[in-house]
Amino acid sequence: MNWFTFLPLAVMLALSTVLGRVALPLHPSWSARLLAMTAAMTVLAALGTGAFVAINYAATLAPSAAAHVPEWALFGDDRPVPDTVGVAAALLTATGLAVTGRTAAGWVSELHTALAQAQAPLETDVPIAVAVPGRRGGVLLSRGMLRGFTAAELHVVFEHESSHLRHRHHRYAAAGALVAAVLPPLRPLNERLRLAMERWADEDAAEAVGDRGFVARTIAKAALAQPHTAGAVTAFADSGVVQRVEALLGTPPDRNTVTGPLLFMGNGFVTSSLTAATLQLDHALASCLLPLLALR
Amino acid sequence: MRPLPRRPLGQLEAEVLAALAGLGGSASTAELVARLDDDPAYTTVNTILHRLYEKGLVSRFRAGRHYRYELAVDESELVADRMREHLRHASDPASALNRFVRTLSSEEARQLREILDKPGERG
Repeated sequence: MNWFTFLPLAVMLALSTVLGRVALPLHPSWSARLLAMTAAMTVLAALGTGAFVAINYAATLAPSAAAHVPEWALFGDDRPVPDTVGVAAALLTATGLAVTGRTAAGWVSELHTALAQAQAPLETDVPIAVAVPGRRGGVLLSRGMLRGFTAAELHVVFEHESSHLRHRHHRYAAAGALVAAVLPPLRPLNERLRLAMERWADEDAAEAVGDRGFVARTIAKAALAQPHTAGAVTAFADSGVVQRVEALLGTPPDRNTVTGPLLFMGNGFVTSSLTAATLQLDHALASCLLPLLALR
Repeated sequence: MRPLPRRPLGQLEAEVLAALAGLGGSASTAELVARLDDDPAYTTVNTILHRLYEKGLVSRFRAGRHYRYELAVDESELVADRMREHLRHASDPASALNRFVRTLSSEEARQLREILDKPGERG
């Protein structure tokens, strides 16, 4: 084990931190893709590094068992892993896996509730619209929304929600929720990803409706009709509504038909290589390929 | 065998609702089919409308041989505990659901009103 072991994870964490702080000058659809990819890869890299160090620590403790572990999973330098590092890695990995499991279980129950509720409009005067993914999903609406919004405004809401469904935004949301749960300091990344998703759906709605100002006013109307919460509850997170409305009142973002895909692919290449490195996939690959070369 | 739907039902439901809202008043199935992208089958749209009707999202009335549909806006009373349940969805950072708007802080509400009150933005 040396500092190279932690290098890929360190780079990923740094990248995630930066992306959580700095807004990308991209169309929201590309920002969302890039942020979701980074979030997912960072979680994988963290769990991969943790698991890898833990395995090697176990090998230090029980050298006889280490003989059964494939060679690529071990550091190869036969130096013992210090207790502090090993125990910390094992604990963090176990916690990370437990949190991942709990978050995923939360989604399942949340989705079940939402699906059951989506069978009829919600009996509340608060205007609510939620995109519920899945075959039996759809748009969960409240009476307040159906009653208080004109047909044209509802058109905006449905276009917005159907954009979420069409682009499978729940998967992006899942990646963001996971990074926030497993690596709490990276919560800003999740916040940014959520804002990008909403902006993406807003832009789709604006395109379908053809009036950015009207979409902005509809969002503002729905937001202002929400009950106000006491300051403490919302202190941790910005709802993003103000930015969304401002963005819609400004000039439409560039579609980034070239920069978007290029940056996304570049980011995908870098993050997935780093993650593969933490999972020792390069060693695994090499240990598969080297015997083949020897046969030649 | 019936071919699989090309779009998930939830999405088509949202699109039908959007089309219905876009048309303003009431619409027949045929009018909705014409407004939707990718030419969904008449029967598919009818099924969707039936499901939306059962969910109480659209209401319908007979006009000649066919039904005409409109968005359901009916007065029904408020049930307090279901409402609380829903408000919980909203600002939960662990949620995988996307809500139209999240709850505002009073500071944000003030900013929002300020932006909207700027002259020249309404129109």
